[in-house]
Amino acid sequence: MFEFAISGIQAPIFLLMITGFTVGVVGGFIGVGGGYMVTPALIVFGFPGYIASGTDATHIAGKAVISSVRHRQLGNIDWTLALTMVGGTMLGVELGVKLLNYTKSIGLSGPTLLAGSVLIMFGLFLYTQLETRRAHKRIEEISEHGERVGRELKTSRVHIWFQSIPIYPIVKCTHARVVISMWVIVLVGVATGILAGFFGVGGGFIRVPALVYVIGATTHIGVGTDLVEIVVSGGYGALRQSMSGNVDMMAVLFMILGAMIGAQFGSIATSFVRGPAIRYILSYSLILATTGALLRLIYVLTGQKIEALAFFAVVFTLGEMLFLCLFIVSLVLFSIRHTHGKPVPKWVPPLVVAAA
Amino acid sequence: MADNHKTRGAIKFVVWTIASVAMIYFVFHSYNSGQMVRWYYYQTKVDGYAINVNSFKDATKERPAVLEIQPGAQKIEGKVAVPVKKGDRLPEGANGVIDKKVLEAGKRAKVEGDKLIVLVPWEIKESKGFKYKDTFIHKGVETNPWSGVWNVAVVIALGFSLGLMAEGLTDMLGWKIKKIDHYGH
Amino acid sequence: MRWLWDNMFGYWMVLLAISLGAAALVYVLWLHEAMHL
Repeated sequence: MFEFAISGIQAPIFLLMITGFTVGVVGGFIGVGGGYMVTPALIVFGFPGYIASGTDATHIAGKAVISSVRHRQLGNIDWTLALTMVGGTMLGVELGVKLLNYTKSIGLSGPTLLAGSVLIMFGLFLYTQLETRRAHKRIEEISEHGERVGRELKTSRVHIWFQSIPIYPIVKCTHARVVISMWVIVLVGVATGILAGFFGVGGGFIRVPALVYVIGATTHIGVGTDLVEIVVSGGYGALRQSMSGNVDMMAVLFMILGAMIGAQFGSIATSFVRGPAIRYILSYSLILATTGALLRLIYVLTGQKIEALAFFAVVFTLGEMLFLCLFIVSLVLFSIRHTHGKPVPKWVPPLVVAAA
Repeated sequence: MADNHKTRGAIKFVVWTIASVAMIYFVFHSYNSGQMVRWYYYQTKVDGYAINVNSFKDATKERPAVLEIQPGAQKIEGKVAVPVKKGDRLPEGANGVIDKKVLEAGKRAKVEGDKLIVLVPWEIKESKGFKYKDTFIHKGVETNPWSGVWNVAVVIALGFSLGLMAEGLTDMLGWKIKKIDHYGH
Repeated sequence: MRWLWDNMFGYWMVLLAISLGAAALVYVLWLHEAMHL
C-alpha cells in the first residue's frame, strides 16, 4: 500500500501496476486508451472521481507515446493521416467538453448520458462484430481455394463512398494507400473528438473503426495512427485536467510502470495477427464496456437498491481488462503454435499470420 | 552486420534506461520532498478555513473533532484550522478548505469561538453508479497550473524514453521486429 | 469440451468466466475490505 498524498488515500501499488499492464496490452493491440476501463477501476480502488478521471487521462497520454514508438517501428503509422486529423481531433474534444457542460446546465442527467454511451457503444459493437465475422469467413473461403491471404481483409465498402467525395484539398496518405478529401479526415477527427470530449474517453474505440471503415486504412495502420492521435488528444485532455488539479502524478507513475511492459506486448502482438483479429478484440471490448455501463445504468435507475448489480458492475469492469488481455495472449500463443505446425482451434488460422 | 545492430541496440538501451531511471527518480524526489504536494495544494478558491483532512477523519457527531483556529499560521500540524481568504497561498500541510458557507450551514462543521468543530468529516455519495467517499480533501483548493504542465511534460517525456528503451532492448536481444507488410500476400 | 476449444464463442465464454471469476475474487478478498464501504 502506498500513501497517495494528493488523492488523500492509500491504495495498493500492485493493483495499479497490474491495471497499467493489462490496459497497456489491450491499448497497444487495439489502439484505445482504455479510459472507460481505467477510470471506473481507479474509483473502485478508492480514488476520488475527479482524480480517477484526470489521472487516467494523463497515464493514457504517456502510455500512448510508449505504444506509438513501437508501432512506428512496426510500420503501423501513417503520419500524413495522423497529422491531418490532429487539429480536427483537438477541436472536437473542446466542442465535446462544451457540449457536456451545456447538457449539464440544462439539467440532462447522468443516467441519460450513460444511456447514450450504451447505445453508441452497442451500435459500434454490432457493426464491427458483423463485418469482422464476414471477413473471417471470407478468409476461410479464400484459403480453402488454396489462395494466399494478405494481412488485411475487409468486407465493408463504406470507405469507397467517403473516398469518392471530391472536396479539395485531396490528401494522399501514401502509407495507408488512401486518397481522400482532407475534409473527411478532419471531420472524422472532429466527430470522434466530440464523442471523446463528451463521454470523457480517449476516443480510440470510435476512432479506430472510423479510420478503418470510413477512411479506409488497414486495421494495423488504424491502430498505430490512432495511438499517435491519442498522444495529442490525450495529452491535451491531460493538460486541462492537470491544471484543474485532477491528477495524482504518483498514481500515474505506477500505472505507467505497468503499462511500459504491457504496451510492448500489445503492440508487438499486432505483428502476429491479421486485421480481423484486432477488430474482434475491439468489438469484444465494446460489448463488455457496454454491459458494464448497462449494469451501472440499471443499478442507478432502480434507485441503487439492488446491491448485486453494483457488485456485478465492478466485477465486470475489473474482469473485462483481464479477459481482453487473456484473449490477446491466446492469439499470440496460437499464432506461434500454428507457425510450428501444432494444433490450434479451427477458428484460429484465418486470424493469424505465420511468423517469417 | 547483425552484431553491429545489436551493439547499437545495446547503446540505445543503456542511454534510454538511464534517462528513464533519472526521470522516475526525479518524480519520486519531487513527491518525497513535498514539493509535488505543495504545488498541488497551492492556493484557495474560497473564503474559509484551511485544514488537513486526515487530522479529523475519525470524527463523528457524537465525538466531533475540535480544531484549534490559528490565524496566520504557516504550517498545519494535527488538529489546526487556519482562516484563509480566496486567493491566499495554502499553509504547508493543508489539503482542503472548509468553505465559510459550510460553516454557516453548521451541519458538517461549525465555528465556536476560537475552535472549529467537525461533525461529519465524510459522506458516502454516488456518481455514475459508483459509491465513493466525499471528504473535504481538495475542496476549495486551486492547483498551481504550472504543476499541470509539468505533469504532462514529464509523462510524455517518460513515455518517449521508456518506448526507446524498449526498442533498444529488443534490438540488443536480436529480436527481429520488422515493418509489417500490410498489402502483400 | 471440444466445443469450447473449436468454437470461437465457446472459447470466449471460458476466458470470460475465468476473468470474471478472478475479478470477483480480487474484489471480495481484497478490495471490498480495503474500501471500508
